[in-house]
Amino acid sequence: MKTYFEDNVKNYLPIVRASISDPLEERSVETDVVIDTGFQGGVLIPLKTYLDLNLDLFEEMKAIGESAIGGTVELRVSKVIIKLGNAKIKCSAYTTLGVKRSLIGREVLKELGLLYRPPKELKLGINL
Amino acid sequence: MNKFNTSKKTRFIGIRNFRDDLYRLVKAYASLEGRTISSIFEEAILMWIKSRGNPEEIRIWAELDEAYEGNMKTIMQSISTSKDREGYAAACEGRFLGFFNRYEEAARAIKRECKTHALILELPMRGRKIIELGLPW
Repeated sequence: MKTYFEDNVKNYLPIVRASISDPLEERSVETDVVIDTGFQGGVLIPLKTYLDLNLDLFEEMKAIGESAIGGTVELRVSKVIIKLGNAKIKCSAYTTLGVKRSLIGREVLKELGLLYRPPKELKLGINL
Repeated sequence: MNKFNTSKKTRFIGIRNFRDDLYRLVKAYASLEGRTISSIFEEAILMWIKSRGNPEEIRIWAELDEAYEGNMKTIMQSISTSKDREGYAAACEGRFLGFFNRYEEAARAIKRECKTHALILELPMRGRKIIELGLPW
């Protein structure tokens, strides 16, 4: 599982390389995602990635996203399969307008376990 | 007739509580320029959309929303007679695809029969989920 810290200016932003696939695993994209314990869902991806994966074909009921400052946004939702190293996890993918970076959140992290000890150690998969 | 946009589908809308002085100004300019009031509103709205970042993304979002609403309506009509049902219901392009026991069966049926937006709902239906978002994106 390829993980790294982006830079110390951003206080060691934790990043992991992930492969995200549609629910039937017919399309996939590889992308670097930010590990974000403040995000409750599986993955948050830009609308372009959502459409590249054809996730509009597998859409579920929309959800409401609540930001840290209390504002809300509408979220489109679909199931995806995320591969991180040898781990393969089925989870929900979310998107909304203006998403520029992909995040993985607690729905995935609770399965994998996370060790965040900047600046030297960043490990995902300690629960496996 | 709206000379700025003759090919798109149009609809009647009414606006409550619009400022009277602004409306009179718009009407005066429309008359001076030989245009319809709707063409001026349309131009102003297009400028406003462009000022909001990525207009292409917003256009796609609006199209997805329209398809979502249509598919949601189709599923709601189809499940209204079978409220105790469990499993999944799917629709695409305004067409009800059926009830499925497993999510994967619904996804495969969609893949076989749909080209554009499709919706899969888990039954019995629950309200919208609230998800805490993380970093400002």
